[in-house]
Amino acid sequence: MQKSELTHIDKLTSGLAHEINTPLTYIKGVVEMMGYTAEDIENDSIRTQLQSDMEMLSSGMRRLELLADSMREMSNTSKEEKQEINIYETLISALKSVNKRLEYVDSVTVNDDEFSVDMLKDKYQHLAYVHYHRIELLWTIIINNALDSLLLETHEDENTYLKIESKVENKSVIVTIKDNGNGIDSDLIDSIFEPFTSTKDYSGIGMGLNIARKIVKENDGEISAVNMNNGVKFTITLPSVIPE
Amino acid sequence: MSSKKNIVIVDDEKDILDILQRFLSRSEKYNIKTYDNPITAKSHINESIDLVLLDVMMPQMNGLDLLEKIQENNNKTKVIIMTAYSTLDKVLESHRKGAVDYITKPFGSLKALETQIDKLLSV
Repeated sequence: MQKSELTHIDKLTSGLAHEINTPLTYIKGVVEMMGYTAEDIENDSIRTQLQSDMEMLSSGMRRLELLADSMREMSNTSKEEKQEINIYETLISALKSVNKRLEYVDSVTVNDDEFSVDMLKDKYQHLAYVHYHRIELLWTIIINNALDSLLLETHEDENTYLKIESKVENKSVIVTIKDNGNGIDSDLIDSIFEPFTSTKDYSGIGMGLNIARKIVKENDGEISAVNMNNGVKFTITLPSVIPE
Repeated sequence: MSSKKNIVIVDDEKDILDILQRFLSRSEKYNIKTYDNPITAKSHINESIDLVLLDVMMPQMNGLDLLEKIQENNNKTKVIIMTAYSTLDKVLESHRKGAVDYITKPFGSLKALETQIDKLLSV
């Protein structure tokens, strides 16, 4: 593709992201306001029904927001500065941002500690020199990807888990993210990091993992995925900073 | 005279103005005026305004240019920049031009935004 064509696509993509975000801002605001109004409804069944409807709206909005984020990230030419970041901390932050969805998974652990919203972010110091916001987005993408399969109705009666591990080894910070949500179709596993490859029948335009790879590459790291034990395991390696 | 704090919101999207005004009016702590045209807003922002919530991408005038004008005219008014674009360059530029804070659209939650405003205006 010509460079000028790419520039046009970048502009179109970031324009679209802006056009999605603007209405989303007031839709999200209105839904939040409706939530406060609903709290005052005395009829229990009406209130509960409204609250569950709003939960559904929120989940749809979250998907749109993530889509706009991904589109912006795809076209993003601005340079976020790299800095010394505790990778463990970014993992905890990303988990907190999807906390609501995590409630439906039976076990969510980070280095064998059960995840909770008030979990300390500095229990471990796994330092890398990276783009803070992008790395947090990277975890959000991979975790949401795992949750998309873990939260399918077919897993309702199973013991679902999301197992995250972070460690420093051989001058690298190594993060693994494992789930037991059936894994990725073997025909697709080699191409999941390519754009517009969706592993989901019901949703997704297949940009998430492409962005994930882009972020990892920008930060001089590596990413891979393998199917194992009824699920998928992502391994991300980032160059570590040894504390002085 | 009212002891309520005065807030001006500038955004070319009327629906965003509407929802922000409705939400922030609930507590009756603030007097709120909204403008969908930054050029009109400019002549109404003076020292009596405690806070401006300011969009960036507007057809008539860039919010960061308006921020600069507000800073030239008075140093009492605080400005929070809000935009659907969150690039580090924009954040740095708005801070350099004197914005006290920077939020991205869609907002995390209106309640969090209100808490942020309460803190800033010590309400």
